[in-house]
Amino acid sequence: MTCPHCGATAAPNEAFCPSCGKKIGATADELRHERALELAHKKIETARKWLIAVGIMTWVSGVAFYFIQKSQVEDEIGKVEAQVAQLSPEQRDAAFKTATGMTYAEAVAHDRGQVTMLLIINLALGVIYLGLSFAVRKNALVATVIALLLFVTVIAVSAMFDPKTLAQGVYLKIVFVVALASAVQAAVQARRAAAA
Amino acid sequence: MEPLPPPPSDQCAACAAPLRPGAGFCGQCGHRVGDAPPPPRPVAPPAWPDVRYALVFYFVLLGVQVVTMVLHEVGMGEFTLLWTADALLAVATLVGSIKIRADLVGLYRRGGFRVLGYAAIAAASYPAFVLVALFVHALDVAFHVGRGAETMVGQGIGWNILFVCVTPPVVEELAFRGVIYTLLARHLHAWEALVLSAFAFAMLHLSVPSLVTHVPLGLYFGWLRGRGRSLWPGMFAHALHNGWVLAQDVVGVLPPFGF
Repeated sequence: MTCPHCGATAAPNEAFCPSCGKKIGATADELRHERALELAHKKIETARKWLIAVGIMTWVSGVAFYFIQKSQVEDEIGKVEAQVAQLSPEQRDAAFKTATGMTYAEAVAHDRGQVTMLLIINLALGVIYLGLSFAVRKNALVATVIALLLFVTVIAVSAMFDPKTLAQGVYLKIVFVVALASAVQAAVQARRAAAA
Repeated sequence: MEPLPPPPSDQCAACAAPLRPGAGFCGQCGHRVGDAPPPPRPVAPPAWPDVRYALVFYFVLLGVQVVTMVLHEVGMGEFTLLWTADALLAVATLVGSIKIRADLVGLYRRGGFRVLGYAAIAAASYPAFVLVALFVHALDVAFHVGRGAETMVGQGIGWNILFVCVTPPVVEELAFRGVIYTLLARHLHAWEALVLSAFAFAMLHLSVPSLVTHVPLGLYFGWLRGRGRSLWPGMFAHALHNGWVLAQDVVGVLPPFGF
């Protein structure tokens, strides 16, 4: 390899001309740096795709869960209705007040409302995950940290309401958490590399 | 004392790469042969350990919240549960804050604002509470899910004030505006530390609908911390907000809205 500035011969791995000292190629540090950035962006991109998948899965499972829960709640309400059919409305409300602290109509509205709210929560969560997948391209660090915290928190909250949910898709959950955590790490390192 | 041996001339003085015989410059770093080595460049501390620490700290607090809920499920009494939960959260927060105690002590040394600033915080606390209460009310109207009294009215007002207006502001401000914000702000832009600490604060309340109210609250408390570089203004605002919630549950302070 010859130096374009002074014409002296340089070894192929040399970043500076040994004769005139001008820069003629990438240094070992720059090459390492470039490779690290490339790897970090790959990890962040993987996490972005996972986020899209999780957003869509949250929507699908939220809608499926809504219909399952709705039919269960309506069954339950039907059964209770048959039980209290022979009571007067006053007796019915009095019995409900002592059991649940609500009137019959309030208790029914409460049960139906919870099912609807859970659907809206799941739809909103899906929107948040998809929104974060867009935000990853704007600010990978902030978006991946929020996604990681949110995903783990939702797992914890779901498990508190129903411990069985912890086991549902447990491998998928682990893979996603690992992908997100490594994307956070990659985002931190990419930012540091970009600043250097 | 014998003089130090001269550095070997076949090695670059700056990067220690082998030099070609007769070369005027190092092929690896461009340093001129024969010049004194440049002073070492200062290296910024790596960001990842601090960010990882903040994440692990959040997950530990989340674990404490989950343990609290499990204790509730197994039938621990409400009052015992309340102080157990607060004590667990306080211990976890204190242990987590040991690592950056020097920074945190600095946040407690400053008052943050003057009297006028604190007066403004006090004046803002009621409208802020009304906005939060309106959202909770709207959820109840839409889904009949109840307003879920956050307070434990019935144990005597002293305990109520302690567990609603004193311990949560002190512990949560230290955890979110203290530990998490400070660790993140070492390496990230201030607004990023603010946003992330607000999300962490909101999510640790373990309810997706309450993100709508608690993310803005977290941003507000975090903004106070960043602005005053002190934890006191946030604690004050937080205590007042919780005080309004308690007052609403005890005597009702929102008559104009027909609650």
